Amino acid sequence: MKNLMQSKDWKKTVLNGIIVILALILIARTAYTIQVFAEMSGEKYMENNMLYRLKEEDFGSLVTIYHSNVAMGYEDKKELQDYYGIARYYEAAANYKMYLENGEPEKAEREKLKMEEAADDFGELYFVKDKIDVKLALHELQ
Amino acid sequence: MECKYCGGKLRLTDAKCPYCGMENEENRKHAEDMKHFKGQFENTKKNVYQTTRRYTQISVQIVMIAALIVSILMVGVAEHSSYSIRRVLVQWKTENSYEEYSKILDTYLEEEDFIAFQAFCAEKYIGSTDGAYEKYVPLKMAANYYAYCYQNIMQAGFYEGKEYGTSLEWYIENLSGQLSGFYSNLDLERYYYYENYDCEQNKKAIEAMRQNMRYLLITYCGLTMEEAIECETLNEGRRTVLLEEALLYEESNAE
Repeated sequence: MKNLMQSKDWKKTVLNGIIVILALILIARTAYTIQVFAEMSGEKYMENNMLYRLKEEDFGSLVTIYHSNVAMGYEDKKELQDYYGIARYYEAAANYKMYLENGEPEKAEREKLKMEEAADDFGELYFVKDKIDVKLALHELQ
Repeated sequence: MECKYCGGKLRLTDAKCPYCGMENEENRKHAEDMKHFKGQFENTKKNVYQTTRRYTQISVQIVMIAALIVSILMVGVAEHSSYSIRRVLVQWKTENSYEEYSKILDTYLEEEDFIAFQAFCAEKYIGSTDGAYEKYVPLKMAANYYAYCYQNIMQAGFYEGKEYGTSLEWYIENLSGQLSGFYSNLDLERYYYYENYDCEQNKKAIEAMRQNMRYLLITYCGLTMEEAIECETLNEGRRTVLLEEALLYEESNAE
């Protein structure tokens, strides 16, 4: 009887051990899956990605990333506001130059207003504004 | 039964004969038997309870293990299908937000903000849901190419020749290919099977996209207006040559 009881206890212990291991696996898998879902819904366009484009001075890509983030509902992300300001400024500045050089002064004026609004959102990255101005040769348009 | 001493009538539960007062031996045996059976019954009952409890515990553990395995599998399936699940959820929201989303799309078109329009269409799966958004599909296709071309024009137009980066020739070839897609999607008749494919709003947006693309090519690739218009009818190879002449010439002049 005693042997039987010991055997039953041993089985119980093994089953409890299996439950603990499976529970840990479930927690780990669930956490990973949540991360996968979070990344799918926009994390791919977070700060690192935008910083890389900025370092490369690939402002055109920065503009498209900005619009994707807005469409995904990440417009208010605090840590991205400086990058968003740069993207908006670049897009408006590029359009301003394009319209002005092609005889569309009304549209150019509209873009200039957008440039001025975006310039307020540069924050610590204000120096990038000068880079964009030089790159687009905006001083030649004044 | 009868008393073996006086022959009086006895019941099994009588400890003594009510007539002669002698002990009823059958009652004593009966009491011993009852005690014995009661003990056996209690033992059996105890064993049954113990065994049931033990098996219940093991059953609960086995059910928990099965539930955990099923949960792990379900989480695995959810992870594997995360793209499809997200897509279905976004599409469901898009189908139920026509009023809100169509206002946003109309604003983008009004402001000729085709990159924002394209990004919104892509993220909200506009056009891949039911018929409500059908009229936007032709513009979505053209705007897709417009956004690709915009990126390529900016990269080619401001090419800085990094040692390990992509070559200017690659950007030009890529741009030429994307322009082919863009120009072919400016023809609204391709989408005649969509409701309101040729509405005034679409015609106006298509013309604005065409015009803006000309401006982009003139301002950032160095083409003339005549060349930008000619670009629309050239095949991909000749367009590549035209862009190379403009951009490479511009680059060598800058050097």
